[in-house]
Amino acid sequence: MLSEIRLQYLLIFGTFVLLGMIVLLIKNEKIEIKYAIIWLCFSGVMVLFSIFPQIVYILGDITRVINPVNFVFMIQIIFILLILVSVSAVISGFSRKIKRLAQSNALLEKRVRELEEKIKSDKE
Amino acid sequence: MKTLVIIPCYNEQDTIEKVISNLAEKAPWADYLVVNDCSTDNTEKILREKKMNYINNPVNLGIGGGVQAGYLYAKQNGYDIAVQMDGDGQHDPRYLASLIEPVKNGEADMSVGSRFIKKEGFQSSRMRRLGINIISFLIKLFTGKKVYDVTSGYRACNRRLIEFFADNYADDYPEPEAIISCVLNGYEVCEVPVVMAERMGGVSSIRSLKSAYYMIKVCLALVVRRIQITKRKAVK
Repeated sequence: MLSEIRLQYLLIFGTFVLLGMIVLLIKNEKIEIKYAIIWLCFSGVMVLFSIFPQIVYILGDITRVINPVNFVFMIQIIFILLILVSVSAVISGFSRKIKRLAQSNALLEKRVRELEEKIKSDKE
Repeated sequence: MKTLVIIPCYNEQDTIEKVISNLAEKAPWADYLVVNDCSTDNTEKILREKKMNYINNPVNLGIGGGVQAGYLYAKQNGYDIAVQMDGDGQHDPRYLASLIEPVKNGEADMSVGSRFIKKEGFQSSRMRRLGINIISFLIKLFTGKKVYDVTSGYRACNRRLIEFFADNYADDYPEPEAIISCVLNGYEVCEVPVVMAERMGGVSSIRSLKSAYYMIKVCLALVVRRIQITKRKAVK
C-alpha cells in the first residue's frame, strides 16, 4: 500500500514536471500556442490520471482493459500518434511555403542581377 | 504569341550550352529561361559567362519546384505559351513548333510531346516502358483519357495552365501528376509525336534504386488527385 502511494507521488511529480515544461516553453515563446494545444491536453490528462487514478480504474473497467496501466499506455500512444500526424501536416505546410519563398527569391535574384548589370553598363 | 521555353537544369554543364544554342538556332522566336536548381557543378558559371537568361534556385527544389519557378516567371511576365524542355539534350527544339501548334490553335490546353505515337527514336528501356504503360493505364482508368507518354517532360501549355501550374505543381516526379490534375480539372490534354534522343549527358532523375519509390509515389498521387477532385466537384 505504502509503495503504491509512493508511486502515485512520483507520477504526480512527473506529470507536473511535463506540464510545467510545456507551460514554460509556451511562456518563453519556444512553442507557438497553436502547436502547444495538443501538448497541453496531453499533459493535462496525464496530471488528471496521476491525481485521480480512480478515473483510470473506472475507464479501464469500462473498456475491459485487463491491466489499468495498459489503459494509460493506450491513451499516451493515441496522443503521441496525433502529435506525430499533426507534425507531418505542419511540416508539409512549411515545405510548401519554403518552396514558394525559394522560387520568388530566385526570380528576384534574377531581377537584381539584371539591374546591377544594367547600372554597370550605364556607368561605362 | 509570347512563348517561353522553361529549361529545368541540374548539373548539366556538358550539355546546357549546346541545348541553348540549338534552341536559339531552330526556334529563334521563342524566349527561354534556364532554371538552375542549385547545381553543384559549373552549370551556373557557364550560364553567367554566356549571358544566358537564367534563374538560380537558392536551394534545390527538385524538378517540380524548379519547373514551377519557371511557370511563375511565365505568369509574372505575361507569356501566352510555356514549354517545358529538358536541359540534357533529349528534346529536339525542331519539334517546338509542332508541339505548340494545338495549344496555339486552342485545340488543347496542354500538349505532350510523345515518343510512342510514331515509335521513332529513343524508346527508353523495357522496364521503363512497362512503368510508363502502367501509369498510362491508371490515368486512363481514373480519368478516361489515354495519354501514352505520361513521363515525357517535353510539353507545352497555354496561359490558363501557366497560371494553374504556378500555384499547383507536384514536387518530385511531377509529370504524370500534372497530366492527371489537368484532365481532372477540365483542361484538354493532347499528344504530339516527337522523336527524342538519348540524353547527351547527366543522369535521369529516375534511377533504378528510386524507381520503386517512383511507381508507388505516382500511383498514390493519382489516387489522391482523383479523390481530391471528386470532392471539389461535390462541393460545387
